[in-house]
Amino acid sequence: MEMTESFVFWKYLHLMMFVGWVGADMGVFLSCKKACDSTLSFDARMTLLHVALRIELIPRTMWKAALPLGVMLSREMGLLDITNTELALVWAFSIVWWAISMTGAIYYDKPWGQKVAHFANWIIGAVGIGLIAIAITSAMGQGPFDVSGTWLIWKVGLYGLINLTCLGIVVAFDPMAGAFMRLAMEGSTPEIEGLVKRIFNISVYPIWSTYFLVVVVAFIATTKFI
Amino acid sequence: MNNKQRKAFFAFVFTGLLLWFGYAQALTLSIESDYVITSYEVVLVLHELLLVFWLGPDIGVFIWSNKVANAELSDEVRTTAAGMMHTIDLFPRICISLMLTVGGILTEVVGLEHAWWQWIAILPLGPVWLTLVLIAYFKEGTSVGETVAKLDKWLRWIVVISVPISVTYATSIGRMDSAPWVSAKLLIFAAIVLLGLLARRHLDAMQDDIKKLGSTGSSDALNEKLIGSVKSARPYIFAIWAGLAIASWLGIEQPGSAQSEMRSAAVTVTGDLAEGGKQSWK
Repeated sequence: MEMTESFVFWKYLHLMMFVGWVGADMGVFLSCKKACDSTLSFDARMTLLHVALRIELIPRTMWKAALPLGVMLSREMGLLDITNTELALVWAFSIVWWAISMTGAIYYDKPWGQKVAHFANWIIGAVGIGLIAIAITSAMGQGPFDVSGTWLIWKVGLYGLINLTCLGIVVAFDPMAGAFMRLAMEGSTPEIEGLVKRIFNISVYPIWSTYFLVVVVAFIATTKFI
Repeated sequence: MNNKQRKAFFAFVFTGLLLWFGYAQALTLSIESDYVITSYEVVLVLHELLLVFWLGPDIGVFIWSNKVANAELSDEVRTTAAGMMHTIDLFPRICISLMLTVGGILTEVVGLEHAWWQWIAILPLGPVWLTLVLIAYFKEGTSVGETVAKLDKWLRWIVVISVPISVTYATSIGRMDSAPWVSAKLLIFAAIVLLGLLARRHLDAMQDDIKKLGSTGSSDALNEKLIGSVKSARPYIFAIWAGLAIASWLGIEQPGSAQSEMRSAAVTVTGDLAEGGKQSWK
């Protein structure tokens, strides 16, 4: 297989995807953390949460973009045997997945938006489990990825796992909307503040797990040590 | 030594050790090895992470700046927004402080050897600059913080002036012939530092106005000044992002390098992979 300029192009986009995912997510994390500050007014805290969810649209996009970009790179490297039709399907699926996820995130304050978001969660779970299964079958020599590219198989499996930790973030952070609704109606009380802090503290586990795994995946991709 | 100072001390030591580890290993291990971790690769990951935590959080800073400039929001929301800008901005500041040192270590591997006296400048630069950034941030509002912030600014001006001079000299004696793209990256870095200094003139004024907003409340004149500061800083911020994007491209494409020439000549990866062979490119 010839290594062409297109390989460099996809590699560049892959790197930029990493920037927009983990880098931009720092802004989301810090804004959410500040939203738990009980000394601020409700108005300020709502704005913090709202802006966090707006910034989060960037990492959300990049996380989905990782799938087709990774497939393009894998193909360029000759480690994934995939036809043009299959490639088109991967792109089509990724775009639809992204559109559903964005719709759910943008209209999170509407009942129908919450339904879309709920559906998007199922897709995330399916993608995560599906990719882990593909990685395992590839490692056994039965999957679409070249068995000699073990580092890539690890990447695919870990990306699947990242989808599950991202799902963990969504599930863990979901009660925050209800807690803020109570905050709006009942005002700041020790009980509600405790609830807000507890939800955030629980969310921190899948959040940091995701950051850690994304950095591990980047490390594996750069070093190719496994 | 209080808890914060202890943390800062350990962060400093950790950064120093990490850079030293990268330096020592980058010189002794091969760039070509696979299925092992070379220190070149470790430093490369660090280099990538510096880009990630520089450009990525900067987007958050930008989005929050829109809230600062929004006169329809309450004073408290706007001061909180300014606080968020300040908090998130620490990440890009940390990354910029370490970039030259990490980049300097990487260039050794691509054939740009440094003399011992150059290492004396390159290696401590990152940890020293990082220390200035952290002290200026965590001691803000104190006389120590103000002094260190000035030192940080002076150091940036030194970088802005010395890097282009150094690159011009190195290019004139043919030292950059094997990696001309590194020259371009260094010049872009100096330009980015300069753009950051120019943007900061407007953003510092904005911080002063935000303090007034917090103490005296908003007025039409103050709103106009705040909006003006944010608007004036934007072209510099966009230029910084463009510079980072171009520098990243140069780092991957490496035009003018042997690797790039080989790519142009269409390097072939044959059936080695299927036979369990290793890739010779990254």
